[in-house]
Amino acid sequence: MNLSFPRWITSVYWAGIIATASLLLTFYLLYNAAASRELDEISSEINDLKRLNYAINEAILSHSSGDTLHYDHITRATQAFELRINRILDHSLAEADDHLANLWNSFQQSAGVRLQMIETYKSHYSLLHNSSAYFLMIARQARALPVFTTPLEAEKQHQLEELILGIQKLMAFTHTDQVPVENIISALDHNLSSITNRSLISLIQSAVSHARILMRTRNEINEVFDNINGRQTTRLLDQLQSAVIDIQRTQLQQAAEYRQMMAATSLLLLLMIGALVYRQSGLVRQLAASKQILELQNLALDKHAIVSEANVRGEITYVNDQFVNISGYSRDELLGENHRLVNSGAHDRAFFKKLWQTIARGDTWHGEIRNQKKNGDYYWVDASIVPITDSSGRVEKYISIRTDITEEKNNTARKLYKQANFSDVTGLPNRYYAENAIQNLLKNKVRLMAAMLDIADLRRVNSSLGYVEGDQLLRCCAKRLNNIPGDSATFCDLGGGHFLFFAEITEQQDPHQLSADWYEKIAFTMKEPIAVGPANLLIRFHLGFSISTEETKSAALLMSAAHSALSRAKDNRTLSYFIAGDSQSGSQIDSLLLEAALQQAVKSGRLTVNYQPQIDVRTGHVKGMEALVRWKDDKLGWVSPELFINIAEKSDLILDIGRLVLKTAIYQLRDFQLAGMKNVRMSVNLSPRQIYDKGLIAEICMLADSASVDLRDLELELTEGVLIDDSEDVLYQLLKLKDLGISLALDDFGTGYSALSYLQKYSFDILKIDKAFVSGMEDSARKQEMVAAIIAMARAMNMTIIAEGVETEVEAALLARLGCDLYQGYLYARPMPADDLIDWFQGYQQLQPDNDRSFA
Amino acid sequence: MPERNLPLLLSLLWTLWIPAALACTPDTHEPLVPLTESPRQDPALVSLGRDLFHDVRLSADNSISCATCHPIDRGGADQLALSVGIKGQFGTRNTPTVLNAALNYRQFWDGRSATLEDQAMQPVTTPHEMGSDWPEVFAKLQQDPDLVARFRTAFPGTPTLTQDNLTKALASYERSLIIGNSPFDRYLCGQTDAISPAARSGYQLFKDIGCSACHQGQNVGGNMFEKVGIVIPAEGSIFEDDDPGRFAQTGNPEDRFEFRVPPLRNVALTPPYFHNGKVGSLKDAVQLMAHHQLGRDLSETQLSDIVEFLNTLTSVEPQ
Repeated sequence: MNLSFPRWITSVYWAGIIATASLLLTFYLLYNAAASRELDEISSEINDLKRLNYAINEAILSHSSGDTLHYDHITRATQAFELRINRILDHSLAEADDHLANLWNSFQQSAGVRLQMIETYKSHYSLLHNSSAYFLMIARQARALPVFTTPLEAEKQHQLEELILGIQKLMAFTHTDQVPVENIISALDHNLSSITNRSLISLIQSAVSHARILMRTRNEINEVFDNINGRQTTRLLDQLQSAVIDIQRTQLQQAAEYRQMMAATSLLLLLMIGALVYRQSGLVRQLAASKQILELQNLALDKHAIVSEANVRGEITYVNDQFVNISGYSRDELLGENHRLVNSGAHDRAFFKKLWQTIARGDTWHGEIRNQKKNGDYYWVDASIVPITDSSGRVEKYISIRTDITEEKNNTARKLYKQANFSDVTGLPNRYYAENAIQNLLKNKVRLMAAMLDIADLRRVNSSLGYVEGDQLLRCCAKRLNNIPGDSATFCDLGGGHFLFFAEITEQQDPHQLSADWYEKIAFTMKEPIAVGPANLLIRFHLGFSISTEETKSAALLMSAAHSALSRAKDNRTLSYFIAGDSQSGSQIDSLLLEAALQQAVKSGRLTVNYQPQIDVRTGHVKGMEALVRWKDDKLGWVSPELFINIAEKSDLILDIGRLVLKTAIYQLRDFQLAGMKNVRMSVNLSPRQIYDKGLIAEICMLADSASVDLRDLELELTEGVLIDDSEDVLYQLLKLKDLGISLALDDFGTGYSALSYLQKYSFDILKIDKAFVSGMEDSARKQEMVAAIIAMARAMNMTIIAEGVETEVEAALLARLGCDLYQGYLYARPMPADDLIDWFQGYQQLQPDNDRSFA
Repeated sequence: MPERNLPLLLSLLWTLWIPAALACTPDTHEPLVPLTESPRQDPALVSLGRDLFHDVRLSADNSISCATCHPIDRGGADQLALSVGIKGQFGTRNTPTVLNAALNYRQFWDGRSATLEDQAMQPVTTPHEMGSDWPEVFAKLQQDPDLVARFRTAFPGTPTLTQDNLTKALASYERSLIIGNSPFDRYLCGQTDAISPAARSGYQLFKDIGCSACHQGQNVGGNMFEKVGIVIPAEGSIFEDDDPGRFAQTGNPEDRFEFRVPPLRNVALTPPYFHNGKVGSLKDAVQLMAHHQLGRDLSETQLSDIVEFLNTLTSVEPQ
C-alpha cells in the first residue's frame, strides 16, 4: 500500500518540525532573557539610590545649616541608602556586565567613603559644636574678668580677647584664614608661667585647649565637608544608570531581533504543520480508500479462502463464513475450540509438531492439510498459517488462510495413480498396476494366465530412428494389442518394449492350446507393417506364458515365470510357456525376495553344482560333463535355475555365481580325473556378463593352475545372446580363451538369434543342439530335418555336435544316425552331485563292453 | 449593644494601631525629638517574635532566652555590668536595652550590626551567650508543631523555619518595643509642666554644655559614634580598658575607643553604665561624661538637675 512517503522522509520531516519548534523555543527563551525586567528593577533601584543620595545631602544640609539639631535625618537617610545598596548587591548585578560591575564597585567604594565621612562629620561636628559652645562660655567668663593692669597679664587678657574674636570669626565665616588665630594661640600659650592670676591662667589654658580642638575639628570638618556632598557618588550613579540604559537598549534591540526570529520560525512551523495536516488529510482519504480496498479484498478473500484466527494456544478466535460452510460446524461451535476440531487424523504427530515449531518461532507455515468436516467427510486445504507478532517479536495470534484444494487433490491423486499405474508412453497399465492386479486376482484363488510379450525390433528402432519413433512403435503396438477382440485380457506395458497381458482362465483350459491361441491372435494383429518415421516395419515379437497354480501366490513369481518363458522363447524362437506352480517355484516369492535369498545363498555357499555326463555317440564313452548350478533354499525348496539365473543376471550376482561354478567345476574336474575319469572335459556355462569381465581369463588361468587342470580339458558354453552385441571385446575375449586351449561351445543353438555368420566369426568348437529340437524328434520330420541341417552345417564348420535333452532310445538312435557326436540327457544320466556322478561313472563303466578302450 | 462592644472595639483598635498618647507638632529646633508614634507591625509576627524572644530553646542548654539579658519589664536590660550566658560565662560588654533599640541606626556598642535582624541572630551562636547553632535550634523548634504552624501562618510559603524568618520575627517584636510616652515627650510637645523645673533646667544644661551634641534625636543617642575621652583622655579613668571599640570592627586607628553613643531613653532603668558597666550611679555617669567628653566639671546642682532631666526620659507603659 503506497500510502506514505518512505520512512526516512517522514523521519526527516518530523525532525524538521521538532528542530523548528526547538528553534522557536530557543528564540523565545532568548527573547525572554533579553526582555528581562531585571535591569528595569536595577534601573529603578539606581533611581532610588540617587534619590536617597540626594536625601543624604538634604539631611546633611538641614543639619549643617542648623535647621535640625540632631542626626536622625542623616542616619535615616544613610541607613536607607546603605540597605538599598545591600539589596542591589543581592541582585548580583555584578555578574551581568563587566563595565556595569566596575562602575558598581567604584560606586560602592565611593559610597563607603562617603558614609565614613558622614560619620566623621557627625562626631566632629558634635565636638566642634561643643567646643564652640564651651568657647562662648569662656568668652563670657573672660569678659567677666577684671581688667588686669600688669603688662603681661594685660597683654594676655588682650590676646585672649583676640582669640575669642578670632574664633568667633572663624566659626561665623568658614573660609576665614586660620593662621592669625593659630598665631594668637601660640602667643597666648607662651610665657604663661609668669602670670600670677590663677583664674586667668586656668581660663587661658581652657581657651587654648578648646581653641586647638576647634581649629583641628574645623579643619577636618572643612575637609570632610568638601567630600561629603556625594558628587562622586552621584556621578557614578549617573554613569551606572546610563550603562544600564545602554545595556537595556542593546537588549531591547536583541529582543526585537528575537521577536522577528520568533515570528519567522512560528510562520515556518505553521507552514510545516499545515503541510503535515494537509498531507495527513490526504493520508486519511487514502486510508479510507485503502480501507475500502481492504474491505473488498477481505470480501474477496472471504469468498475465496477459509480464514480463521487463533490465539497462541490454538483456540479459534475468528472464523469466516467459508470456514463455517466448509467445516459444517456453526460459528458458535468453532469459536473457542481448538483447531484440532477439524483434524482428520491424516497427518502424524511429527507433522503438527513441525507446524507448531515453525509458527511458534514466528515463521509462516505453508502446506497442505486434510481436514475433516462435521459430517466426517474430508476436505483438503492448502494452508498458510501466519503468526502475528507484537512489536517485541512475541507471537500474539495466528491467522490461517486456507483454500479448498480437495478437488485438485483428487485430481492429483488420479494423476498420481495414473502415473503410478499406467505407462506414459502407451497409456497401458504398467508393471506396478499389473503386479497389484495380478496379486489381487491371485489372492482370490483365480487361475491366471500371464504372458510376456517382447517387441524384438524396438532396440533397433530406438538406436537407428530415435526414441520418439520407438515410442510411436510402442503406442501402435499397444493400440493393436488392446484392440484384439474376444477374450478379455489386460494388456500392460512394462516398458522397454515388454508387454504383459494376463487373463483369467478356467481349470479346463489347456496351457498349450491357450498359448498357441494367443500367439495366433497376436501374430495376426501384428501382421500388418507399422509405419514408423520413414520406415514400414514388420513387427517381430516373442511370447512367453506362465500359468498360475493353486500355490502361486506371488504376482512377481508369475510374472518372472512369464519372463523366463519369454527368454526361452527368444532363445528358441519358439513359443514358450511355464507353469508357474511347477515344483521348483511353488512358493509365493517375488523377484526381490528371491534376489535377496539368492544373494544370501551365494554368500553362504548354498549353491551347489551338479554334473551331467556327455556320452560319445559312437563309443559310448563318457567324454565330458556339464556343470549345472543348483539352488535349494531352506524355505523355497529347489528353485529353478531358469528363474534364479534370470534374476542373477540383472545384478552382479551372476558374476559371483559364475565364479563359484567355475571354481567348483575346475576343482571337481581334478577330483574326477583323480577318481579315474581320463579324457573327460568339464563344460561350464558362462553368462554374457562374465564374458565382459576383463578378469575372467586371469581367473580361469589361476584356477586351472592351482587345481593342476589342463586348460584343454575345459569347455565354456555360451548362449547366442552373447553374440548379439557383436562387440570387439567379446571377440577378443573369446579368441584369447581359444588361444589358451579352452574349447568354446555354443549353447541352446536354434532358440535365439542364431546366425551362421556368428558361427564363422567366433569359430566355436562345439555346437549344442537345444532340447527343443531333440524332444519329440521322432514324431516330427521337420525337427529331424532341422537337426540334420544343423549337424551338416556344424560338420562343415568342423564343430563337435552335442545333443541336449536326449531322453529316449529312439532319439538317441536318430541323433546317431544324423551324425551327432555326443549325447547329453536323462536317457543316460540326469545332472547329479559329484559323488553320485562318480558312483554312476563306476556303474556305467562296468556296463560298457569295451571299457578298456574308453580309458585308454 | 454598641455600649457593650465599645471596650472590645477600643482594645481591637489599640492592637492594630498603637498611636502615641499624644499628638503634637514638636519644635524642630530642639536636638531631642519626641517619640510620638511607632510603626505598625504584623500582630502575628510580633506575637511569634515575642514568644521566640522568651524561648530558651534558642540557647544550647535551654537555659537562657533573649529576655534573660533583656527583661522587657525591667527596662530591656538585665542591670548587670556584664551579662551571664550559658554555663555561667560572662559577656564582654554591658547589655544595652532592647527598648527602642529599633531607633538606633546601629546595634551593639561597636555598632557592628546595621539592622535588628542582623543583631538578633548573633547572640544565638556566640559561645559565651546562647552558644547554640542554627541546625540545633531548628531541630528543637521543629518538634513544636504549634510553633511550626505559627511560623507557617506568619511566613506563608516554604520553607518556614529558617534563620531569616526567625530573626525577622524577633526584629518585628523588637520594633514593637518602641516606647515613648515619657514625661519628657509630653514636655517637648509643649506640655511644659510635664517635667519639674529642675528637670527643665537640667535639660537646658544638657543642651548648653553639649550633651545634646551627641545624645540627640528621637532616641537621645544611638545615631552616631564618638570616641571615649575626646576632650580629657580616658587614661587612668574607669574607661581605660582593653576594649578597642569600633576599631576592632573597622581597623581604622582613628576609630580606637570609638563607641556608638548610647541612647538615653529609659536610662534611669538600665544601670550600670558605659560599655563596661563599671559605673552604677547615673549621677557619676553624667559627671564622668561631662569631664571626659566635654571638658567640664559640673556642680552638684548641675548634676542633680541633669539626672532629674534624665529621669523624665523613662517611658510609662500604657495600661
